[in-house]
Amino acid sequence: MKLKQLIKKCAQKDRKAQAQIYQLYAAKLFSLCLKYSKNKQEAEDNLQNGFMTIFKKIDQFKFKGSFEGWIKRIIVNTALQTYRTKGMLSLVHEEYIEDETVLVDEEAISLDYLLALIQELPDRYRMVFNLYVLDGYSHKEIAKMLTISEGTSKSNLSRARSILKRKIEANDAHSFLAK
Amino acid sequence: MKQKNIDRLFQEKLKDFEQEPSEAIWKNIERQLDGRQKRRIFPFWYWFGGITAAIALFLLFQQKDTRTLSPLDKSLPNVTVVQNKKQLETKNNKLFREEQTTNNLDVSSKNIAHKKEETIILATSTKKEIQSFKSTSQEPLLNKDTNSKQAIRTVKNKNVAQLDLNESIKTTTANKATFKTNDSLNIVATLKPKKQTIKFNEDKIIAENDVPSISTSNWTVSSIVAPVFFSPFERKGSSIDKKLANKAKNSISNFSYGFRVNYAINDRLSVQTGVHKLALSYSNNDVYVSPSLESKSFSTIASPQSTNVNVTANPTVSPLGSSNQQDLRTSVKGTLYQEFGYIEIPLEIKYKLNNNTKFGLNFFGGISTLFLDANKVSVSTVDYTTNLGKATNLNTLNFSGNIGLDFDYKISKALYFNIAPTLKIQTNTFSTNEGGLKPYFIGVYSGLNFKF
Repeated sequence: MKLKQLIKKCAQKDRKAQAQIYQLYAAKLFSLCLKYSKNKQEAEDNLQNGFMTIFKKIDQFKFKGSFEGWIKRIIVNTALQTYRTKGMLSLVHEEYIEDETVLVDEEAISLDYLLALIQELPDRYRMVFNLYVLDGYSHKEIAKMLTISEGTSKSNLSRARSILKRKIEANDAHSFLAK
Repeated sequence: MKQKNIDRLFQEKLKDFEQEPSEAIWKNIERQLDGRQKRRIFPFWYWFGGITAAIALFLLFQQKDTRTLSPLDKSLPNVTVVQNKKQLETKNNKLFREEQTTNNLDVSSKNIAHKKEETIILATSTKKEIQSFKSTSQEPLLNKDTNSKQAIRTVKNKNVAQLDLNESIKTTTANKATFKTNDSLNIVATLKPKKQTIKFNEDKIIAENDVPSISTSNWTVSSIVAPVFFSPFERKGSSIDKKLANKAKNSISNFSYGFRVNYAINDRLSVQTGVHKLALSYSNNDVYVSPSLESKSFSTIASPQSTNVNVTANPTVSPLGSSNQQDLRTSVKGTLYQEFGYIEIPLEIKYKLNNNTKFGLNFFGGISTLFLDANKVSVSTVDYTTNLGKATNLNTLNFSGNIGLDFDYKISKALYFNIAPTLKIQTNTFSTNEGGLKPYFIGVYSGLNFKF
């Protein structure tokens, strides 16, 4: 299989194979980085560091499970690591919302706007929201990854949702167009 | 406008989201990958600076031996020579151009110091010829240089040369200064028939061709060192005299060092050779030493005139017995030391026994040619040590059969460490061996091996 050979060559530090792997996954992983980061610059940093980790550890990939899943986990961990070392914002208060729906004109809402909303979230809310909603991790897994309790994970998610809901509803096209 | 689950909104919108990062990212990653590799290599040079010396030795060795290594390349240089010839024939002064090419190739590939010596010898015998040619040969120095560039370029184009072209040319340019001294030699060369000049030329091109083929092949060069013990399991005896056959013998730890070149024929099999300096020594206890004006210790020892002791296997009364001083009258116990050293050139075949890439287990066997380069017999007592001279029964040329095990540990792609306990059984070591000492030595050879 072609991918398998590429990976093996990467493990031998073959530069061409590394470039090919990069080209195959850069776009997918960059979008992932954008979601987990505050802004484009941080996303680029995370992508770069993530790829360095991938190339360094690629010989540890034993072809169990999908390669894409494996590299995505590395990228996510890289992003988490960034904010773990920076120190997460400690949260002041908890807020639960009952209603998890929002009133929107779906057609009028762009992807860029939603991405911007995610990036504007405080670090930990952004992590939890990404991990749970967009990448399908359970609260149990998130708690482990972020070294927080499951309860905290749940409340962080809820808080993230409420911020997003408020912004979308309040907002309006104005603030969006302003951007 | 309608009610929509927040999670679903984001999930659906971001499902197929992909964005190409800027091209600078890959460039950064590449730079970082390079940087890491560079950092990894650097410490090895730092730690094992000695390996550079080994490589230098290897290159020296390599240059001397290129002619014998060339059978495979013969077909290629022939083409080059023909081309070279054509190129030369278009010139007006045919003979002179050929001379120049020879000169330039020659300078770039041969030891200059060595040539200077030759020049001096030749200079005396052909002074007149030199003088008559000197004015013409000085003048086209610049032409020579460009011509040599062409010649080298031709060689390069015909081969998968990995040598940097510019570097070769640079060398040639740098050597320009030495042309003047070499001219005299050169002129002598042109006095010979034309065909010889071309043949010489061919040889040089072969020599050049071999350099790139080495760099791409399975060559390993190593610096090695080993503690060696001469006949460690012989507890008594001596090669010096049969009267010493019952004297206790001790082997003394010595060193062998040098470099080794290994060529891998395939994954399992390789041949290796090298040059080692080898020192061996042993001692015999309980010999008796007495002062003497005329040393006539043993027939196998040629003593210098200044030696003023006599060594015997048994206690004796000194000829100066009439003296009042007791320590002059009788002999005292001493230890007899024999030291001998060789330049060793081994030729061995190595076979890899296992498949592990990190740890290798090899068996090897072969022969060594040993050239005697040190020979000394001395005696020491509690009070003094005296040189007795040289042993006359050591052959200047002898051989050994070698067998051993070789364990290697790979440090990096290009570098590995090995350790090889080896038994070398000597033959033809002594012209006479009345003391009945079996000559063999055991060494534990450790080496740092640099793979090309």
